[in-house]
Amino acid sequence: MSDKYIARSTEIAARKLGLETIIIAAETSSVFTLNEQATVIWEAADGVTPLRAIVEGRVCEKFDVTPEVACRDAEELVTKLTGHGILLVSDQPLSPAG
Amino acid sequence: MPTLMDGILARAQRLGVPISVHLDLTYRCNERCVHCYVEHEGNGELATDEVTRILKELASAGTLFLSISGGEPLLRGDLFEVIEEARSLSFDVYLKTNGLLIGPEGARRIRSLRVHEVQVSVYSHRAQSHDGITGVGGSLARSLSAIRLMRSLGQRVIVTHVAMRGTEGDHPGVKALANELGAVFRIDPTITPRLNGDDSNLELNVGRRELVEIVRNPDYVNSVEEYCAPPAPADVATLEGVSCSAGFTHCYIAPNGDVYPCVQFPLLCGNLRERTFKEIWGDSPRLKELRAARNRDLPVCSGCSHLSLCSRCPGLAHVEGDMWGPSAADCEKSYARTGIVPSGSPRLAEGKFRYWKEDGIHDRNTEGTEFR
Repeated sequence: MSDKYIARSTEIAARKLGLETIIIAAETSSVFTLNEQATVIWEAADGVTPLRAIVEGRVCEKFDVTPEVACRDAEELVTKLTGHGILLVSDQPLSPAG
Repeated sequence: MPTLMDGILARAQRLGVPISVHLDLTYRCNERCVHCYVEHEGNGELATDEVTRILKELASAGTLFLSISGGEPLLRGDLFEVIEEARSLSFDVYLKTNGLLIGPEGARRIRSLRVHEVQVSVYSHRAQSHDGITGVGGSLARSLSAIRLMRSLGQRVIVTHVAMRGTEGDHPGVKALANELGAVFRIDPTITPRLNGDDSNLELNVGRRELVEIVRNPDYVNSVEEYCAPPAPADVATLEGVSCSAGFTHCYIAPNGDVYPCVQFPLLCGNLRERTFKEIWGDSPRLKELRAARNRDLPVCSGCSHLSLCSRCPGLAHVEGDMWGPSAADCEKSYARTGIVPSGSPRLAEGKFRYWKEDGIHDRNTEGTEFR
């Protein structure tokens, strides 16, 4: 996993509901729900913490998953969320998300 | 089949989360719509810093969907400051306005703040009728100008048409206008009593024939066959359920900070100048009482043949005298949908209607309401 930085888009609305997160993209009137694991990554997406550190430090700490599997799943999640414009990704640190 | 949103609302109810809040910032208005339920003199307004504090409390409580309305919310000089704060707290913001004060800069700010949708009421596509209802000459032209400005920036706009006496038959014209503007059209055939209990505005409801035409119109209902089908017998899930989210996952905050289960449910649960939102939402005896009852506990409706399809409004029932009783508006709507008299409301078989009269003529003298 290369060093990627991820930040939550400020264009969307989001709220944690129980252990999951609800995301609303007003632009497309779309609704997304993130499960508990994806919510951990979402909450840590501050633009300055590398994705690798998020996966190793938070996902693998909290869930019974190997770093390889967690990294692969995280990459897939980031690709999907980026495709919907609700997560920003860069090779460089991004402006910190609120 | 349940949607993703149905699942989210069900989860919010299980967790006791007020996922949706309606916030009126002011009761002041620059229109005087004949059917309006609001008393424009109001009872005071929260200051900007108080609204900001409340927004933080709502975010902390789990609220996601925030409808900002009034009165006319743009009469508050701090409206954009409030929306900006709400968006920074990641609320999904919905704005209801008549648009009279929205010029190019206002439209640009609404768009840049990523307001999910802006709802504007259009009572008729004919200026004389619309302006007659709002009491403001030129108001249709100004509302349409605001819609055009917002649409030119890509803002999602909902045109809401309240069907009422004097504009019967205008709904296709308003729908065509909405289409031309690139806005979404919604129709509401229900005029409800004023918040102060005065129900004289019910005489403005359209006649029963017009109501039936609206609720069975395939242009306004996803599936007429499904929406107007005879009611199925109530199953366990229906009996264990509730007909409305008011007080469960939704609440209303008045301009002075009073908290109610819904804007149509005048059951005061607390004031946000005296207590935090968390305290009111969690500790209000009235909210606890409301949440304790299920459909099976309703003395009349639990045994009604229409229980499985009825959208009984406990707020209107409360205004009518008993929040656990039937709400006449929903009994009449359910009858209009199905053509079958609800067993819980046998008076309808005798033609006794409160909201939508058979001939459109109410008992009261309505000579003063001429809109054409």
